[in-house]
Amino acid sequence: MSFPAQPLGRRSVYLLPTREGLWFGATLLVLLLAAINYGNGLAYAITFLLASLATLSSAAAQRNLLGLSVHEGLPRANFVGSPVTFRVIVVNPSALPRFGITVAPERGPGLAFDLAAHEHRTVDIPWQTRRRGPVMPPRLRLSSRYPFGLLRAFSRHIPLEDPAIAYPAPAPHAPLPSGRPSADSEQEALGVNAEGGGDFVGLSALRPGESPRHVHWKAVAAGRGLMVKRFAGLAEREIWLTLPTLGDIEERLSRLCRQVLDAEQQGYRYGLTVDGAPLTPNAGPLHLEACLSKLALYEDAIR
Amino acid sequence: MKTPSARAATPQALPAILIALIACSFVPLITRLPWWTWATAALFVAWRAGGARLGLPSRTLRWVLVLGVTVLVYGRFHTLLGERPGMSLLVLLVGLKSLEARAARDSVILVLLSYIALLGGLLVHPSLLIGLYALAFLVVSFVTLSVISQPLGLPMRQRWRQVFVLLLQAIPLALIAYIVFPRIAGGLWRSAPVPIGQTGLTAVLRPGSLSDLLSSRKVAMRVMFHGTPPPKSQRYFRAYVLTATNGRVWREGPLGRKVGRSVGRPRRRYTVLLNPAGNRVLPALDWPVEAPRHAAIVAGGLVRAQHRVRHILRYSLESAPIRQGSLTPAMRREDLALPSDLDPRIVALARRFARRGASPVMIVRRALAYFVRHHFVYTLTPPAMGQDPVRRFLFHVRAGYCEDYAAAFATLMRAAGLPTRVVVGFFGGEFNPDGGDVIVREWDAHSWTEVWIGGVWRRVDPTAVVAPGALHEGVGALRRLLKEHAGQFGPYHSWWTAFRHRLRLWRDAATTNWDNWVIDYNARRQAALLRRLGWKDVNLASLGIATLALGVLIVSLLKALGGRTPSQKDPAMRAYDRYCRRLARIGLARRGSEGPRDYLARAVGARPDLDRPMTEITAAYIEARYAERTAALARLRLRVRSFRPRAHPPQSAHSGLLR
Repeated sequence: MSFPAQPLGRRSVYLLPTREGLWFGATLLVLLLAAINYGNGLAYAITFLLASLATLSSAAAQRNLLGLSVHEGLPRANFVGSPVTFRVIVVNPSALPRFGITVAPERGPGLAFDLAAHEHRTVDIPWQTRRRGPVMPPRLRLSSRYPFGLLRAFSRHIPLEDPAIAYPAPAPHAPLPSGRPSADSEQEALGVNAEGGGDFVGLSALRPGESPRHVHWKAVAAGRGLMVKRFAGLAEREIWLTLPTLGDIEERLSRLCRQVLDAEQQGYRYGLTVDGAPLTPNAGPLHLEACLSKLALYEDAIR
Repeated sequence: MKTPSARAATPQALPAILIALIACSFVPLITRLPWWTWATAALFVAWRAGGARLGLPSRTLRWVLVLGVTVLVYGRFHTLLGERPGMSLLVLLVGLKSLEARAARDSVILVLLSYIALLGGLLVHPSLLIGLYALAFLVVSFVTLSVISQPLGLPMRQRWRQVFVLLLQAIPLALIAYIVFPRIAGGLWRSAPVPIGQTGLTAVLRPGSLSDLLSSRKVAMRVMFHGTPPPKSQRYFRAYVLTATNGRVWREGPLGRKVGRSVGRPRRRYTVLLNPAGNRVLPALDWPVEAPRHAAIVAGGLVRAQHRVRHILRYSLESAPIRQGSLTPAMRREDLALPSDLDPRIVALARRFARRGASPVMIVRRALAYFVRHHFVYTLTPPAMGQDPVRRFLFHVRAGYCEDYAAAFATLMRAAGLPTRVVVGFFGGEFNPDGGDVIVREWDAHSWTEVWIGGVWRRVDPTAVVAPGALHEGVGALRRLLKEHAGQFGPYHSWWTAFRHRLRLWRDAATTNWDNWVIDYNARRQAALLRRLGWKDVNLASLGIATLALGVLIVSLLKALGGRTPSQKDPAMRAYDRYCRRLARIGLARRGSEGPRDYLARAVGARPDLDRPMTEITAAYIEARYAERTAALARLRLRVRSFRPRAHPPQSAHSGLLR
């Protein structure tokens, strides 16, 4: 998972003047020229004092980043077109509060925050996706303009290791394959299990991975714990989703993605066969994620 | 999570400290710039303050306003160049900038502009006071920068502390740069520096012309004598020689060619720091031997600079008490000339002094005796002398200030047939024990006469004869007291007066040092200082290289040392480390990988006599560090403090080392 985080050392923190810092330098030059031209000792003194103050502030600027460490969190997947997020945890292990720490990917805006002594903060960096598949994480930099905004201290690039996954964008509409119950409308008329399908047979304890949609909330309210409504004939409600044979591969994956989402939503136990290793029918968020990941990485699996 | 990197699109209120900073940067300029500059700038700021209701100007309008203020300044001054138009324009542009300031960036620019405005104030009068003001200004400006770059999350007190600490670090650094940075004589481009003020001394002597200066504490010059300073009664600094008179006013007349040689003992060597008076006069003690650089000794034994003195000027001189020379017949006529309408009573009086072929010295004595016999009074507030001041002074008022005495005495001497002239300059001054220099103020302005006796010009100061106390015992103090106590003479009345006087002397000493090291720190003084510090051949290139090397050194040092985070050690660990160091001193250093218990076992094995304290310390440490007991920490500290192992175990087994 995440690589062992190294605290930022002196060799991995750099300093450069900001634009304001360059203007500050230009002002100093003007002061110096005036001092030279008028032979004015006080103007010299002011100029040198200003220059010294700005130069010495670099120590505080550097110290603001030193010792921070960045831990990698789990990235969050998303559909193509929406941003995935990379998560990092910035840790201040020291008793020195840090100010205006900005975490920024190579390109794109950063996020700024302060860190109190011994504080750590979780930062989610949104990252725009254009292609289906694994999204390589950007390299990050920590930077700050503390204390006076004249200098910018920034860290070396901090590489992240875990890629995020961009699922195929779901097609707007894709009908589920056969195996779909004909008596659907009757079931809905009964009103007990509009989504689940099958006959209601009783309650049982929630198993991990099961959809919370079937939780019997009244039972929960009655203090009987998390009970799930069980339906008869779920075996008939199993469907297998397969990649359509015709059409553009991305389009087909989009349709399949829509089907997976619909199947999950409508309470099917669904299986997925897109390549040599089919996913056996199941339901629940973990299964959904496995299916979507499979679709996202499909091409790569072929290769 | 806030995002300051995404800049606010709507104008936010400028930080109050920024507005205060800008106002402070204008303070030294207030009297220098015309009222309409301030009024217009205030208008812009008010617009900004009420901006929420009025709406701020658009981009186009702002450019129109920029053009407008430029035209305004040009229309008023007929130029944009020069100090006052330039500073006016700057003030107006700062006002305009405050109108458009939206983001942190604009606020930083306002801070930078305020530095330029401050510079404008510095160039006008770089006094010690302004220097302290500028120092405070820099502190505030950095706090402002801190507020701009980090608006939230940092309490103000911490910002101030941070900047003060930074200032303490920066001062030595800036000092080195100040000393070493090469000074270029003469400036970079031709500019017309501002004359800083006119001293009261003028080449015209009329009743009241010097007594007007009585109230001016302004320092005219500071004189540092090499060796012991001459007594106060011998400190006559000559500035003007006046030979032409119309009976009321004495002016400079023809002095003939420069002739003569300054001779005699004792010679006095001294250095003068002259505050600029906007003229070429360099006051000199008695008779200068040789002119300083860029100056000449002109007729009358006076020293004149080549150019008008516009900056504080330092010059060294050597003076002798006597000037040998000759008086040509033409000059003699000039020095005897009297107005044709001279009152006959004056002529008669002068004849009485010169009767029976009295020698010149005799004439002078009789004239001075006349003043004493008739109880002439020295007063700082002489009454009006009217149309014929000499007659009125001699026969009616019989009270006056030095200019009255000098004019009357010179008139009498001329009437008695002795070539005489009036000298205007400074007398006395105050010796400052704190600075070791003599401070000459404008109220030390004085006039006396010189009479041609025995082939040399002899100084005769009639005022000194009439009011020896006034002249010899501290004119400055006396004058000040006179002013403050409405005519009461006497020593200091209270410790408070004495204290205030002392305080002034300190301030004067500080000002002298300021003038020496800030105002007048030029290439020559720099070279002298560095030579004294042991750097023999100072030149521009080597200074430049030294400055550069200094810069590189500091930046690299900062990089190496600057970013140290404070040590995070646990207090228990610190105490335990101390214990380990003490054991190491007796040859029982802790090994790198050794845990506290292993270390203890080894140490006890080596020194069984220390078993008890070491066991206690180790137990307390483990408890304090891992169980985080404060009681254990206190115990640990106490034990460690009293743990002083000796290198060798004591002979008797139970002689406890520890209490």
